[in-house]
Amino acid sequence: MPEDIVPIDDDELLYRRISVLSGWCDGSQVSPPAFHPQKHDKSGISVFRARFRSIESAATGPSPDGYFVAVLCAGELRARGIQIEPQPDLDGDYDVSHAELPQLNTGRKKSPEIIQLKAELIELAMKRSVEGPFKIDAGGAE
Amino acid sequence: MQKMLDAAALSTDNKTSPSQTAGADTATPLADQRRKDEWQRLIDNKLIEWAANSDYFDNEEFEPPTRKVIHLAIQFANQYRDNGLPAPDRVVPDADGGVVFEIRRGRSSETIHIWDDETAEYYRLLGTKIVDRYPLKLA
Repeated sequence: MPEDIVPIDDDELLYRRISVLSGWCDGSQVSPPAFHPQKHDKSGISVFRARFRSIESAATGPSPDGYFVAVLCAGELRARGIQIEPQPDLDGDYDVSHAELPQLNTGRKKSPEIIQLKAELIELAMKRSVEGPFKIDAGGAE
Repeated sequence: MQKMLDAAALSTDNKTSPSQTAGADTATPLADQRRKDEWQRLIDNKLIEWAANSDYFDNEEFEPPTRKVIHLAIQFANQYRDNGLPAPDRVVPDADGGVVFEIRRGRSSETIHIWDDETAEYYRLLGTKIVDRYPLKLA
């Protein structure tokens, strides 16, 4: 691991953004597609590290209806065999807050392991918390 | 609960599972009509809405379902509606060009997944473990 990559401690919180318009979260329940790898998720789905980014910032994105944010704990993920890796290099851009769950990659999206890992992530998010929805404009949170 | 599993079974080999006849309200015309209405609401308010508005998910960062996938999902929904099977709790895009029908009851969740490659399958999880999984075809 390069020197400038900060390892993820077990007590770190992680944020997974969930678009409101997608219907993957209604505030009380999260649906598996919230953790489904997309075609560009070749090395794993993205999460943001609370150590480096506020929850409001993690909820920023282009969706007009805003986002929920599922809160996960790194140690709880690891206890269930879910790997987390810091991944600050985003196609040339650098974001120290960015990390990935490498097992959840698009190449294995139909595997039983991924279907079960998505269920694990839902359980952990529901146990910890799902915040929002946040509707962020250029001036900040509404 | 009459499981969505029954719907899947119907579409694969026309079996009638025991739970289809055991449910207390499965035989009443009112319950049957309510199920059909629930299916129709999902078809009209979600699937047809997505198909009719190609820009529905334009500002989202995930890949929306293709028209072909939505059409396939409507065909499955029509089939299950006409068979009087329970409607799912939700119909959502799967983030990768597919569509997901989901029923959740306590620790059990049932999913009909129409994948972006236009294949379909049923799976049921108890907690976080898959306890049943098989491919689906339209009858």
